[in-house]
Amino acid sequence: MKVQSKDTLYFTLLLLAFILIIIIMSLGYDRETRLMPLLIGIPTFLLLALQILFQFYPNLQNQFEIDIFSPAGAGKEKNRAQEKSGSLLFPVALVFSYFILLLLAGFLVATPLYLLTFFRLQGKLSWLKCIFAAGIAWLLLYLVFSVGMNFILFEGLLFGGRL
Amino acid sequence: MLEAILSALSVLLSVKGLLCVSLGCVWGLILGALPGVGGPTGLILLLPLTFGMNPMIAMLLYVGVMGGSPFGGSISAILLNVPGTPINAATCFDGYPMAQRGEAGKALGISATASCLGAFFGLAILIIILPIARAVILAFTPPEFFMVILFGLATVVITSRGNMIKGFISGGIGIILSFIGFCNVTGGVRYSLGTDYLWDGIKLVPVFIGLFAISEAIKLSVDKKETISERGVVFTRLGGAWEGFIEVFKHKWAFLRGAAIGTIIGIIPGVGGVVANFLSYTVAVQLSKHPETFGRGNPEGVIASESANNAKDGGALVPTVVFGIPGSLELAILLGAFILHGLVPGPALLKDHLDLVWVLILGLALSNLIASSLGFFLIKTLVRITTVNVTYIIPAIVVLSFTGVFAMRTELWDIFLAAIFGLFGYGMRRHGFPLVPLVIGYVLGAIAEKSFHQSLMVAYGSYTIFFTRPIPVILMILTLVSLCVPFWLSRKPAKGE
Repeated sequence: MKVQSKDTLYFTLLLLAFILIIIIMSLGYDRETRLMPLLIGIPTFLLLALQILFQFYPNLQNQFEIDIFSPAGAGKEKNRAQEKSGSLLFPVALVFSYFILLLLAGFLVATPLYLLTFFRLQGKLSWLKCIFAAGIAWLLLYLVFSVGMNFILFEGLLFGGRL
Repeated sequence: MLEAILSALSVLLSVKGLLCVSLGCVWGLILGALPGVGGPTGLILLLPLTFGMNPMIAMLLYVGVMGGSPFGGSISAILLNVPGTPINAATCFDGYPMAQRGEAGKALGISATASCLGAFFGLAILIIILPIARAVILAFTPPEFFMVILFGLATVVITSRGNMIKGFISGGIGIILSFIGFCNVTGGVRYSLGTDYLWDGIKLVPVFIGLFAISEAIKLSVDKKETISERGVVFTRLGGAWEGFIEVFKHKWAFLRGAAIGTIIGIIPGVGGVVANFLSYTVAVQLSKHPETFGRGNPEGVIASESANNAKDGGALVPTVVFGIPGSLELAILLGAFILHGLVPGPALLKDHLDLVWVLILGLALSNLIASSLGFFLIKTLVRITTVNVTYIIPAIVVLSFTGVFAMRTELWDIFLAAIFGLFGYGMRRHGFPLVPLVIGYVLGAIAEKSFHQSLMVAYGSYTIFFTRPIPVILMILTLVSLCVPFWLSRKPAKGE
């Protein structure tokens, strides 16, 4: 059986697993506490299961591709999901690396390092431009938050910061 | 009422008040002109900065952004054929062809004038409705309130274009996310995974910043574009703005029709500007004597679209202020801001903080006036923002978002949560799950649960309370009808087939 889009299938399975965990956890709570989560969770779970079925039977999905303002525009969603683009790994890795750097070294060290890495690897800027742009951003961050707002930015676990 | 108006005017006309509206307006104009960023991101980035501010002054910043972003969005829609915000999409149809034939200034003049007058029209309707709203509030007890929320969510789902099932899933996930933490009915803690961090639920700011700002940064990185727009800028005859101003008065009926449609659509809970924008444009085409000229640079197309998307703000404030149900994404974020500032959206707001409601109304009117006036003078400069290389935009969004999230509660895990929601939001968008029902579900979920349990308590546990009172029954029928209409429309053969 041919799958319409493997990426969408995996993402929908992930959502299904999340809702399933919520439903299972809800069963452990008292009647009133679990009532609404189950009322919302079970239909959402069933709709997700239906969505997974659509991945194997695309014709069935067309019945629900409805655009009330332009019936001719129905089905655009599918095309958007199928648009191909660059790798997701690098930008996501950069965002999470920035968080880890923040945790370890704090804002005033992590921010210029993140910016340098981003400008050099993603923007392909020259070293001079990278250092200049990162320096300006660092200065703005320091002036606005530390000096202007007298706000204590996290120093990082390596420099005495506490969670 | 008069006391509240005077109190609101004193705040609005203070140096701080005027500065906040103006700053918010410029911020909204700039972000509105950035395709994909738009007013909601502008509001979200302000959330952490306004924490600790006087709520009235903070609200002026927010309405400043709300007034500025729709016109900002029309700038890139007209000059680049790229709508800055989704609510400017229909403006492209006739605005860009006008720019292509050297009438960019005229089109922008139309947009500035129609936006400002449209907003005034919507706010005038809101002012007329406000005194009646108090009576409506008294008729709304928990069962009615629960049904209004259901109706609002249903309309959001059916108007999210594309796969309706995905819209329902999105809304369902949003509601479920709102259940994390303390249950406000029983006091029990749900889904906290044994950590103290989740006891108080997932906070609004990291969710919003993650879903919109971080996911947008990831999307821009993945798409590998050089600039946000790759089409360049048409800089021809920008001096024709005055002609545009006159054009709106020449087509007064197109303007009034668009503004009326915008206001009515805005009043329907949870529908929002995209619907108002497209519906107004469609009606303008249908009623025109020369429908064939639409899409080829007909000024009426720009008037219909822009008057509707600004008039909807006044209309959308009705469900937001009266019931605490957001009429649009911007107002969902505004509701979040209410909560952050310790204000209870809904009936209590109208009863206890009428001056704040007037601050919103007058601030929104002023901000629209400032945005349109600035538009006439700063068009050339603002347009250059859309051609900034994304290499500078992406890290600016990430750094500003992470710092803003941390500044909110000095809680480092909020940054992690924002990053997670960024990835999640990107996944939702990539695979066609609309984010608007998720956000509205998240904002309304806890309120819906509270109303549901309160209704059951009033009825001694009997579910018949939802079927025996007139308003809940009418609302239930409306919800069911609104869910069936799209299926009926999709099966109805088009004319000429």
